[in-house]
Amino acid sequence: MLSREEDGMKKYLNKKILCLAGAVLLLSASGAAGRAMAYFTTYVTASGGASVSLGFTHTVPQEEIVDWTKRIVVENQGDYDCFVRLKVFAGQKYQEGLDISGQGWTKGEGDYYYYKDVVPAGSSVSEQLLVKIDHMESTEDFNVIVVQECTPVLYDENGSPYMDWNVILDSVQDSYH
Amino acid sequence: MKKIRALLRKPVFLLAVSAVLLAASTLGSAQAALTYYSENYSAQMSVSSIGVTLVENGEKVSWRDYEHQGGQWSENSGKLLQHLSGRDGKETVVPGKKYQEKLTVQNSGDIDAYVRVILYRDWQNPQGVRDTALSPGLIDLGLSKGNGWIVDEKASTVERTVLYYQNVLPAGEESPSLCDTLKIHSDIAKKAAETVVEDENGYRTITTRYVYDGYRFQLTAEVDAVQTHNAREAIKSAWGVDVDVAADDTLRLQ
Repeated sequence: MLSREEDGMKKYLNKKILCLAGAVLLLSASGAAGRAMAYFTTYVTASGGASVSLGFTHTVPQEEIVDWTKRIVVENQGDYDCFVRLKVFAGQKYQEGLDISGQGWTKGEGDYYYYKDVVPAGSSVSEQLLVKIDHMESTEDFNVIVVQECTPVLYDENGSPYMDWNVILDSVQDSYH
Repeated sequence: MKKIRALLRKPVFLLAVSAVLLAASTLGSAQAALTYYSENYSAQMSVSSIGVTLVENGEKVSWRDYEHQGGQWSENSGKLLQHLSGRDGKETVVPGKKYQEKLTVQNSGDIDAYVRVILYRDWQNPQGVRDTALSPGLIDLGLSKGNGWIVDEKASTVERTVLYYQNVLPAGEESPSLCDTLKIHSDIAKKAAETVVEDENGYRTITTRYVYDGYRFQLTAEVDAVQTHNAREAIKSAWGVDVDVAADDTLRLQ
């Protein structure tokens, strides 16, 4: 027969051993879990960006008049490559007297004269557009107006350049009086 | 039966069982360690270390490799799209034009690995503020097809593309390119505003201003690598995705 004190001591010891056993089990279980989670992994990142170049380009017609003939070149003073086209207006009386020609220039849609090549930023078209004017012995003042426009170079699916004249960057009117 | 129950009630018995379990567990580890060292004794220098490198147009951009000597990571985080720098040093692109953007992944570790790449695209206005009104879909990456890279359509959005390399990427090897070109879609140039200025002589200058001029796009690539051993569990644990690993070790997304 155990005394009350001895009985209490035994219960205390049992609890202590029970706690110890639990701790040991937990320790062994957590060790196994740790091994299961250990995978070799790594990662790396990189980033970068760029601005979209949609800014203005500015083209200026340079004209020289010699013997009733306008010699026109267009200079791209902007920062972006472009295509250019020119259109020449005169009063109805003089319209038929205009003789327009130039290598590299082709009359096209809207009676504009289109230059065949891309005009790089900072350079001019290589060939002049010649506008010969027949004044028809007129003593009246009259205007011959040149409109020049440019459009940015666009690129198709294959990366080839093309022009879209629905997108006009710059339009300048100039006249000869 | 009563005897067993009585035994189970005795804490000393439980302690003894625990001690045996712990001892067995330790013994297991010791055995595993012994086996490991025994098998690799002749190749002690070839210890397992994982590493991955992002390569852009043949140039190493970023890497993170584990180095056993010193137990440290050798890492570098570089910048993408530096090759787009213009004459003035600014990176600019022309809409519609295709630029080379060949991205590959190199296994720069000592163990084979499975790899995946997550590409993020977004826009910032000229003030540097993120603009969600402009579609990231206009940033067109020419993703490769049929060379082992597959797009996880479920995890991808218009801003994010998740690609998995189906094959094991052997140590030291470089994957095929996951994309080859970069192009900003020409549609970005379709939104324009027109202004007309008339000078004192009555001549008019009509100027078109692009609404998205000066906008900046950002491309971010994140490369993840994981061991091939216990691949299914490792990928689930590391990337949180369920995959099947075929007999030829190729990955299949579930």
